[in-house]
Amino acid sequence: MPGKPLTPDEIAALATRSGLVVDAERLAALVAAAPVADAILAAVWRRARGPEVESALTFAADEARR
Amino acid sequence: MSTIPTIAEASKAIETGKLSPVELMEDCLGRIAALDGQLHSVIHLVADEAREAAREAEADIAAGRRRGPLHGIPIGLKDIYDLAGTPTTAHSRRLLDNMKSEDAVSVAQLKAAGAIPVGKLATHEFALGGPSFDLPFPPARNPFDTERFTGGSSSGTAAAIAAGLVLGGTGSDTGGSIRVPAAYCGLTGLKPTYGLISRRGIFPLSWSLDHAGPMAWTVEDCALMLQAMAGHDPLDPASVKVETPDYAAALDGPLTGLRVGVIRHFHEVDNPSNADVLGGIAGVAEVLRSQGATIRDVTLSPLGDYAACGHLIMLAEGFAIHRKDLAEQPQIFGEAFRDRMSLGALFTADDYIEALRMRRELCAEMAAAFLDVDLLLTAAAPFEAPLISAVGKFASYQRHAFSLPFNVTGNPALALCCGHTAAGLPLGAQLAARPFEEALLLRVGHACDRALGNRHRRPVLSPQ
Repeated sequence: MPGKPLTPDEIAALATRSGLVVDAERLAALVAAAPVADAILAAVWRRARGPEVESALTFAADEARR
Repeated sequence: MSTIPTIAEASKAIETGKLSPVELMEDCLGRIAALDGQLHSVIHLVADEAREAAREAEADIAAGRRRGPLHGIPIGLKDIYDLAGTPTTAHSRRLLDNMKSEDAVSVAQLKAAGAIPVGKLATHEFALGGPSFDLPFPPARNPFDTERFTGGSSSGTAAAIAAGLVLGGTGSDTGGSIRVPAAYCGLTGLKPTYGLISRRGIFPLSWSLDHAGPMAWTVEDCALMLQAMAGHDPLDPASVKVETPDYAAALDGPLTGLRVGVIRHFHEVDNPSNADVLGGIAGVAEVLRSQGATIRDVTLSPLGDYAACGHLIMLAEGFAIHRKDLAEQPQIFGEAFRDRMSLGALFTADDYIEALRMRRELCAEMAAAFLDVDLLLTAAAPFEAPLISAVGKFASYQRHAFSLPFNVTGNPALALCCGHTAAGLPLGAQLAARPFEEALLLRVGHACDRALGNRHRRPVLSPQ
């Protein structure tokens, strides 16, 4: 769920998917660091807007570039 | 040891024949030999080449072929900038043998203007992971107190300039890596507009946030360096084709009618700064007011929103650069870099897209703010340099940097010394302007330098 703290299982799955070797030591380091990522994700997803708003912003930016 | 000149002072003395580039180079090399054992700012010295270049500069100038204000000026390069004939290590075991045969574009431009690189300077591992004690080179130390942090990641550049080992240098700034060390070491650092200076030949941290820029003792010196470093590079996809103004000529204009917005909630609420820093910012505002500017408060999104957006983009893009090595040889990195950069594995495509959408909103907000003001003022760092032993692995993520908003939006931003603590440690303020308005930013910064009158306060170091 975007913006919710990652569980150790989610952390292990994400790191493994990225190709990292997730042994016990690495997982412990990632779990220890995860609150930093959680805080970043929570702040980003707190401001999440609907696709319509994003489309308007994108079009405005494209227009400005032209 | 002789007095340390600024670039402008040395340049004038060289032009009028009162100072020889060879003598100036020997002064700098002498200070490196005497002091860098305490500072650890230089990780690769090219003394022979620098001496030879100084002799050539002296001969050229004597023959009437002076190239401009940087001719014969010793500079240092953050060790993510390529310098032909030296390795670019990024302060990492991973790149110890990364020998380069060409100069980075901005280095070539500085050399063409006559500046002389004396060496490659310490950084944090890949401009992210420090200060670390498990790397091939020790972390740089703050010349104002060698038990204290320089800030980073342009740590060696800041230490070397403050101590007069070089007169100017190059930094890179992805979230504050020019401006924070400038603040902690009492010098001036300019993060220009995104796209003003080529990044070709500079090892990337995060493509859409990386900025190259000058660092020097004074704002005037930064203007002289920017003149050489700015310019369109068709082979850097981010480079923008704009005319380069005469930054030095623009330094002395009036400030009358200038509208300055203070982002008070950044440094008073979102990341509360200590009383010394708040006093320094008030002093800058008073200087500007006394010279005819109007001062008002400006409210933006919380600093934490800018920081989250910037950190997510930085870590996602950085992880894309280092993923293979983190997967295949994680032990080659220092712990701090490995643990910080591995956070990038925890972000997904939709997280990154959401951060990009947020960035668009924040850019629009910043542009709107600049409809009503010409400059923004806030802190460069919330306090003086902390003890190096007290800097946590994730410190920069836990207290939101004042610098990162202007990496997210790409606006130019300048850190300058706004005072000192009772113990003599420097304090930093930050000014930001509209895109490509570096000339205005430098003019205002130069006025502050002159009015605040603190540029005589160099660190005091004794040879050991």
